[in-house]
Amino acid sequence: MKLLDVLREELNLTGTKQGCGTGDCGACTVLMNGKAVNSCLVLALDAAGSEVTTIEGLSSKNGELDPVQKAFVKHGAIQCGFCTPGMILAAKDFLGRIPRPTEAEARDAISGNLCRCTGYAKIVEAVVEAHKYE
Amino acid sequence: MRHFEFHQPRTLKEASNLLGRLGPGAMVYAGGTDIIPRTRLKRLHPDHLVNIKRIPGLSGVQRKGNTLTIGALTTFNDIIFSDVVNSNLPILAEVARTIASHQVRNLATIGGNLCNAAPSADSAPILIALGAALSVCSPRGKRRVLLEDFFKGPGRPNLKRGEIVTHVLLKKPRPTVGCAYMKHKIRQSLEIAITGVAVALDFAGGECRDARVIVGACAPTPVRARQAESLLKGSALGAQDLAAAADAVRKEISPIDDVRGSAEYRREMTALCLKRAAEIAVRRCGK
Repeated sequence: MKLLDVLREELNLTGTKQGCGTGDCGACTVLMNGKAVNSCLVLALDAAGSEVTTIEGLSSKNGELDPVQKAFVKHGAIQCGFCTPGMILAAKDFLGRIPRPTEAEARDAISGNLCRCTGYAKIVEAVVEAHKYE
Repeated sequence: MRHFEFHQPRTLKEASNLLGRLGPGAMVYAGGTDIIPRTRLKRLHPDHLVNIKRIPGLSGVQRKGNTLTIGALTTFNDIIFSDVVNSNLPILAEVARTIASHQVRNLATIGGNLCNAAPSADSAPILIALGAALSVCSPRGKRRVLLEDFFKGPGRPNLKRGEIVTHVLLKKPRPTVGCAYMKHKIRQSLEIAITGVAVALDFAGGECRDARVIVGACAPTPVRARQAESLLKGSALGAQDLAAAADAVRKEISPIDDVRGSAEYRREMTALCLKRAAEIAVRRCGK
């Protein structure tokens, strides 16, 4: 069983999406020990002992959104929403290393994630501006 | 998903004994980025996966003197963010950045990329150009194999049952050596090479003292283009010399027609990539 299946089917954490199931679309991105990975490519057994953060766990305990989430809301970086959890977690990992990215760097940050609505412009904007919501 | 048994040995000895005992239905499991989707798509049918990630000492990049040792479990992002790589052999980080996506690079290992023996494996051409060897462990002991001699065909590494690749070994090149890898692709990420050309040139005093040209994705295994190498070697690496080598490489590969490109297209792009890679490599010599 894959980590993605345990999250969605066993733990009912359906914020993590299954798109391609082969590591190409990034919709199932979660943080494993702080690093963005495709949860469809990780065996659940192999994740034992790791800290896994899904989109459900990104906001603080009192419900305040993470700065990356705030930026996505503010910039309307969402259309159908299917790619959003993966985009946000990919951006979260990236912004931990490069907090103030250029546009080119922001594009690179989400290059492992597909948006089927092709709404990339606003997503890139949100990633570039996310540091302003810290 | 197919049912298989998952084994998590703690030592190399335990792992290679297991592989020997379980037979041909057993596979070494490392990053999982190839095994999992290929199992799901019913292209692989493992009965046993032997996870080697619980074995200590197989991850990370170390330098001792002029030798760099890369653990087989080192991920491509480990390579990209490694200080040892960036200060001694930055070309490895540059090549790693051309592979898959950030998420996949957090999982996929260099040992797995080589042991899959895909003709298009991006890490292979540059490592062969740098003369890399693999350290291989089995119940019978250790052996070393040149990466150049490691690939027998698509999906067929030069490994016997029970053998596990533990490290990639390579020498830091002399300062007069410049390297480049030119991967021809349509997309910026998550792309398999249409062709990939690695070039390592040793250039000093206006003369090319040594040249290595390795082409990936254009034959059943990565190919060393010896004719192109011999045309570069001894030359001044001028435009005509590069053009001659580019012309020669067309005949040294045996590409196939597939969804990513026709054989004819691959020959033309390989020639072009060789020329461009060599131009970049020359500029890096002596730096």
